[in-house]
Amino acid sequence: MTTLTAPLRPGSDPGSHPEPDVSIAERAPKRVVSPERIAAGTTLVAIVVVAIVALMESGISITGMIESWGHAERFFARVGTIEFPEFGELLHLTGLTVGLVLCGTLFAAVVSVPVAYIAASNTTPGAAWQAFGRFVTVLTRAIPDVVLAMVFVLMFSIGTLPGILAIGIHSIGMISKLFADAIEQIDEGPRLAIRAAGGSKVQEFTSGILPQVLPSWVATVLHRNDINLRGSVVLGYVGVAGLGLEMSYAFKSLDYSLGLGIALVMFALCVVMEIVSSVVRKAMLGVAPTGRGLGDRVVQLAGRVGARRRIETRAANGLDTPPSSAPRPAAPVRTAPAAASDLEAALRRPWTGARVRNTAWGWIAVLVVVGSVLVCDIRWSDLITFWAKVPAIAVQFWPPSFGNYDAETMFGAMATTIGIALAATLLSFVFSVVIGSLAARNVAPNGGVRGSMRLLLVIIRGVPEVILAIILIVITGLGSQAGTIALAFGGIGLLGKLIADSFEEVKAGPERALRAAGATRGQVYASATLPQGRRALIGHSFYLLDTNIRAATILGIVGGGGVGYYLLNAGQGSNYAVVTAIVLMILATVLVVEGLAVWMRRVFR
Amino acid sequence: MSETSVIEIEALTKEYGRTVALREAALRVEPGEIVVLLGLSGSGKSTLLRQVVGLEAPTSGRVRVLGEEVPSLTGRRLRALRSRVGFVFQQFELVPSLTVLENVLTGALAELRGPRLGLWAYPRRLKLVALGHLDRVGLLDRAYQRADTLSGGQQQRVAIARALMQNPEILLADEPVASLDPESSAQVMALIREIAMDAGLTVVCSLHQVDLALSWGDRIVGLRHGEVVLDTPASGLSKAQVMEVYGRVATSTGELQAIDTELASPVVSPAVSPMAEARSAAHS
Ligand SMILES: Nc1ncnc2c1ncn2[C@@H]1O[C@H](COP(=O)(O)OP(=O)(O)OP(=O)(O)O)[C@@H](O)[C@H]1O
Ligand SMILES: [Mg+2]
Repeated sequence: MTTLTAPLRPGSDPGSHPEPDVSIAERAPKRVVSPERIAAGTTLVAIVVVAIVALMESGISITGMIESWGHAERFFARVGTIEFPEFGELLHLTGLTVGLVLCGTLFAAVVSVPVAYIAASNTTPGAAWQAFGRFVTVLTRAIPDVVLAMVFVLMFSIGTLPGILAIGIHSIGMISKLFADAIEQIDEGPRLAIRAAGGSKVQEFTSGILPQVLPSWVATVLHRNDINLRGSVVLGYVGVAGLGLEMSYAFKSLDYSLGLGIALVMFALCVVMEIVSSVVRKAMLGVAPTGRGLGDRVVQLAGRVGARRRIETRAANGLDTPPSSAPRPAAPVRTAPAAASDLEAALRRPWTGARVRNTAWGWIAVLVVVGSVLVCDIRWSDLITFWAKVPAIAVQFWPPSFGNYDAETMFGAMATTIGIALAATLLSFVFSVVIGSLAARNVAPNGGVRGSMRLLLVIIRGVPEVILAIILIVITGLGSQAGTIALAFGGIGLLGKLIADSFEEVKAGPERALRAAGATRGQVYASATLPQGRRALIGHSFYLLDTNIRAATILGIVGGGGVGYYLLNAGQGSNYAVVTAIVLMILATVLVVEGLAVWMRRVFR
Repeated sequence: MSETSVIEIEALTKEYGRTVALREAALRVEPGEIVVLLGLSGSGKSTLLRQVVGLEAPTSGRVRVLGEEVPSLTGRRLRALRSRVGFVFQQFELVPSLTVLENVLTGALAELRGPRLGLWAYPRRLKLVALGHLDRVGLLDRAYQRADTLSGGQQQRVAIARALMQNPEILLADEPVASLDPESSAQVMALIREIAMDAGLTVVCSLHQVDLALSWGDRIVGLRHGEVVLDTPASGLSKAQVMEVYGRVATSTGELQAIDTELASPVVSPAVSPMAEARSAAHS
């Protein structure tokens, strides 16, 4: 302000600053950093240091990589051709896998609605309910679906039910968390209006909240469905029917040609599913996808091709009304009341293109649900006989014990798993910050760089980590090294995308202001983009760490080292007390990470 | 205590922490009256209206609406009272992703019981009634459009139709035109008055614009810092008298004009105006 109003002193060099007032330094308040911030900062540094140590311990090196490249070449030479299961069989397995994943996700979605309702701060009936809802959310998220599957395989006669329940119960955690977040973000106005009109709580929910959250809920469920499909491979390793089971048989019997063939099918299936979810999201919600996933890309491309036709239909349907803020001449409110017959006529809702599309998609959705339930051929009787077996099996799980292993081995294995997760997260973080930043529109020097970085992220995301890990292990037998590389690789796809998206969402104003003040591109990035995106950066990184700890366990099951190996052994050797002990260790770790994440996000707001 | 009053408020105090939003406020509204609440931002207009339908519990005092003690009502009986009182909000508060018709139908939820999702969930009879109300506000042709594709003025008319769907005896409106341009404002205000006259509705409407208030209402009630400082019939009331509600005595026409323009400037969000802020700072 003062520089604007002060008259220019004659003779002073316009570039130089006026002589600083020395006393101002004394008068200025001293900067206070809250002790909590110092503690959080220290913890963050400590975590990074541990991650660096873990990375060095894991023995990942350039020479090692070159060596394994040699292994890979020899391996593929030995495998020769890639084989697929016979067509009918393949079709059946694919249908089974997809059906099972869909059923599991749907089950989770249904259960998540009440859980989210009591866990969301603006709808919960009371503090105790909310605590219970949060507890369910955290607990179901913390127990890996593989562990659930292992347990359920014991309780049910072999079939699809163990897989469905495992996927379903584990997915409740993430889905209900995101459902609750969506509820907390609604505009309270419409809900208040319904309350003021005398609506009940249930009506407030169905008429005021549900219409607002539905798009985000559908997106959440589709997203989770993609994740579940990727994860379904591992379920095969513990005996859940489908492509994963066939693949594990193939690799265990050293039939690498077939194993790789199934892996390829699985990979293709993941890509197809991503495209399908993107199409569904667009069709059902009438919202163009904003994401840059592979599926979103395809839809956007198709959208551009069909754009002209759509504009024509929109115009024909009178849907292209300008947004609410657009000024329009005040039309006379009403001249003459409509006759009763006019109202009758108005009762018939016109079949606009949008309505036809919505109805068609609705029916397709119903058919898909019914189809997947049929394909799964669920033995509903199991759901009844199951309860009889629960007590007998449940007692075997308690009390937890390390069985034949000593505590040192187990804690060591858990440390290995945490190490893999930390090292992988660190690797992903370093690469993601670079790739993700360059993939952000407001950071990338030009469209070409941005486009190629986005494409790179899409390609990385297309490869399911589990399959990558299995192949790495099969090829080179790397153990924890393979796990780390697989996780780090997959992490770049996730974290890079999240970073790019949140950097693009920062306010453009500060960036523009700095640019106008003559800052370089790097300065703008460091002083405007990064500080605004910092909170998201920390949040996303902890999210990745959180996912990686569970994923590291799972990779242990397929041979990636760490506690997962013992978990599989204990499960297959019926040492259920050991299973409980391991699950408790995982649970504790996940809860600690979750607590840290919440704390960090709050402190570094 | 008169038997005929539809709204009787006595010694009503509402505190939010240390903020006193209403201080011993009193108001009595007779059937068929059209009352305007005037007052600066933060003077307690919205708080008072929310009390009438029991959206918040008072700190102390009595609120009697349509013969019911509002603060003592709970559950079904509270909802039944609310359904007899229509409420129109400044920001319309329509569900953006629903059709116009379904938004209007949500006004009938209290009478229906149970959750409703989708147009098919409402009985045909109510749909006809809703279409009739839409016709009344001049938007019959928009029935199947999404609510968020309408202009602000149109959305407010839909909100009025939604309130009519309750078949209310009282209509409350909280700055119904504060987010609208002058032309839509005039249209919406005229519509409210017309409907009220037709149906013999009692109306309590908070407003910012003094001119509009004087020409539109039958009675003006002025609020300042949560206290009722003015309560007179609108006819014969001079603008200067009303201006005192705002805590300023205009000494010259120029000043009057200045305050006027300040008040007429559209308030987009219910933020406290710098003037009110300065005064409350001086108070504490
Ligand atoms: N939920 C709340 N929590 C805390 N304070 C509140 C709350 N609602 C209102 N207040 C305070 O009560 C006072 C009166 O607010 P109210 O919304 O009734 O004013 P108003 O006259 O409607 O103002 P405006 O014209 O801006 O809408 C204000 O000081 C406001 O800050
Ligand atoms: Mg208000």
